[in-house]
Amino acid sequence: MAARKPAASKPAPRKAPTRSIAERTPLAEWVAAALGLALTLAAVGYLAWEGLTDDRTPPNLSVTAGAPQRADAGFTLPVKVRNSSFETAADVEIVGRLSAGGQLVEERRTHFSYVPGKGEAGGGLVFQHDPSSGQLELRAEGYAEP
Amino acid sequence: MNAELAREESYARGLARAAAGALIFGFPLLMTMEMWELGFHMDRLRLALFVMVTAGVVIGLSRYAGFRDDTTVADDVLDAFAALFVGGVVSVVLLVMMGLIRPDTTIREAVGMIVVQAAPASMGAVLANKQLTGGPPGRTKEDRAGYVGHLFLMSAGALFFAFNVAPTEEMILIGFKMSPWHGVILVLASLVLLHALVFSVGFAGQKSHDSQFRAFLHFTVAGYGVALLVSAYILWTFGRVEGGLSDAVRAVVVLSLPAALGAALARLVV
Repeated sequence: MAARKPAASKPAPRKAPTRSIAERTPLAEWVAAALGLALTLAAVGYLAWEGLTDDRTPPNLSVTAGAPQRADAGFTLPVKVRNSSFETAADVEIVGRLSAGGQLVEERRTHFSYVPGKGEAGGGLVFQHDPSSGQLELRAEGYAEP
Repeated sequence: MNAELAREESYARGLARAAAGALIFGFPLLMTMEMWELGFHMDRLRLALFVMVTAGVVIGLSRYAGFRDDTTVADDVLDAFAALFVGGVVSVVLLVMMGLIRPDTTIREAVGMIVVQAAPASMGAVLANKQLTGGPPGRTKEDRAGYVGHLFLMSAGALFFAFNVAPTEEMILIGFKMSPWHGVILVLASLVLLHALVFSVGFAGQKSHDSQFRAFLHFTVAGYGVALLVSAYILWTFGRVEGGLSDAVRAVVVLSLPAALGAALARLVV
């Protein structure tokens, strides 16, 4: 930071300028400033640690299903997409195929705008038939870089 | 003891003011969808650097903005970190209140969202605290800031304005829609606007410039340079200059228009 030129005609300070910073600083200010410093350092430290441990592998997506719920328009199957890589996946396409006896019964798709790196996104697939009545296959079809 | 209590109370009031400033400056971005998403897909090391840049800008603002005359560097640094704290807290509270941070949000997502939101909020916090504390309005610190201080204030203004629009998808879209000639016109318009604003607003130090040309070089061209650099930095931080040189230059030029306005208006706001 550039050194400031001292003011030419500085108005007389209201309080004695000889008081040390410890004396003229309220306790609350020390607390707030210390918390601010701690938060800033913690944020930088955490981000740098994540950045340095990031192995830059492409998004690694896995889909899991919850318990199907009966809905007005068939059955709702809650799905969760997890991304175990650090890289975020955008426009993730999820497809669910329900088959019985080797025959495809139904195929349903849903779309997630983002699955954050080391995070997850949730949604649901709506089936006409009970998903627990046959074999259910859930897959992430693809993604785009954000 | 009584005087001490009064000082604590007045400081608490200062913190409340800072929180109000953080809200006012932070709101437009808190309600911008791209900002939440940037929080989790931005490059982590760039984000870490950005947190440090934010802290530096807030310390600088604390030093050069406001009316209090009798402060030392240590006072200003304390004020700055208090402002960073307030900015962080306001961001967390609002993100939680609007359901953007939930119990099942991963740490990575939450930290990313908070640090990008805390930047404008902290700038608002430090400005509100400095601006509204009263004091004699005749002599402001910026009058004594010197040329480097002026450039710093311009870059802080540019950063704030650029930051407010940079995350949106529209920035990229505008770049795609423009021809190179649109870009040239945009550069010229930015320069003219910057010059007009700087000199109608009454730039501190303009009287000392006897020649218009020197004033143009010293403040307008330098200011636009600052705006370009700040825009490039913001776009790089947000990972928006990866699409090749032509797109990057266009995006920088587009973003430099609001950045230049911010640089000029920093004189008013700060």
